[in-house]
Amino acid sequence: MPASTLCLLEDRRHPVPGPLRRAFLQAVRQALPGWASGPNIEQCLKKESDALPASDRAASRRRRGAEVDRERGADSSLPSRYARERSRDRELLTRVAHGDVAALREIYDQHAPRAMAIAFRILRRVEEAEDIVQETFLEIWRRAPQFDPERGGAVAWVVTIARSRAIDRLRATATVDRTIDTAANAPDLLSPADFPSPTVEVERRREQKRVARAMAVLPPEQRKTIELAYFEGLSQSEIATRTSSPLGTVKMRVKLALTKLSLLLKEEET
Amino acid sequence: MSVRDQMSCEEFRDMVDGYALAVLDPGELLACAQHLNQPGPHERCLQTVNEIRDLTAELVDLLPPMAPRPVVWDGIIARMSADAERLRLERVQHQRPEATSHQGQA
Repeated sequence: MPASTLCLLEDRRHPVPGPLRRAFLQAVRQALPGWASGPNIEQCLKKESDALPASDRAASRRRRGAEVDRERGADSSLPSRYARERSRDRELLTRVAHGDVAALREIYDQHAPRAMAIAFRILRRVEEAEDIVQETFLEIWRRAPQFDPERGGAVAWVVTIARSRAIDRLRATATVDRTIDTAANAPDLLSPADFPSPTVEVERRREQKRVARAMAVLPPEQRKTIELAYFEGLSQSEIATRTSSPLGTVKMRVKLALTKLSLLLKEEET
Repeated sequence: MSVRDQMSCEEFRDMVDGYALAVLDPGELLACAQHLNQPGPHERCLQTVNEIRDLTAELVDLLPPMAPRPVVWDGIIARMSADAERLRLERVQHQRPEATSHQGQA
């Protein structure tokens, strides 16, 4: 069965509502031209486009234009919250690069709870997770002059360092044989961050719901693959073994899930 | 793919999801890292990696945030101070032979 047909079948079993479906198909075509350019997907796109009212087609074209602008480096399509955060983080990291400990502390207060959450999720031990947080912020202190905000946000930088170090430690200690459950099933093990302000908490919960809604739209096997990969730190080969799936299927699930998540989260922002 | 093989940008982008998520096997991870270190324009490859990392970092919002204990920040400060002291000593040691040689000339 051609991969493009497989993609459409998956979509039919777990349809993405409304314009998201069309956006998803377009993204698959763009992201995976090698296997998603068959007649099936093209027909599907045309059919969906014809079914849209003229105003929606215009909006769709504008959205695609905004995506092209973003690819070219324009920042205007970013939602204001992220633009604000990026601008603040950029300023703080510039100060950190000049040896400003107070700026590092601000970044720490802002992002350490996220670093701690992902490290703890992977390692399941508070002391080890705290070690990872310490190493993460030392690395940020040492490498701040190399931070390039055009290449990604500070949150992603912090989280990526923490997660990579946690995975390295996990693999070094070979403790991968742990209980698998979903990200939502472990909060009783976690202690909350220090009383955030109501505004911050409302914003955090809104973000949590937004991401949870996007994850909920994924087909169950794609969602589980992402959970095992991201939150458990398993490699694709380990996921294949764990889920008794062929390695190629696991790789395809990761690719499809990320493509779909990207679109869903963008749609949720706008 | 053998680690010794030079990976093309197309091959890299085929594996980029796994690379950005750090879920590839060690040989594949190494091959991808080597690709990014190869001379040549890899802006698009890097951009794709960073876009995926930006995206997946949002997944952390699913987890309840956890505040590290105050001792963690104290540890960071202690290690930063140790780093600074080590650098200071290295600088002193680096300057000392020069000072000795100047004295020798005098």
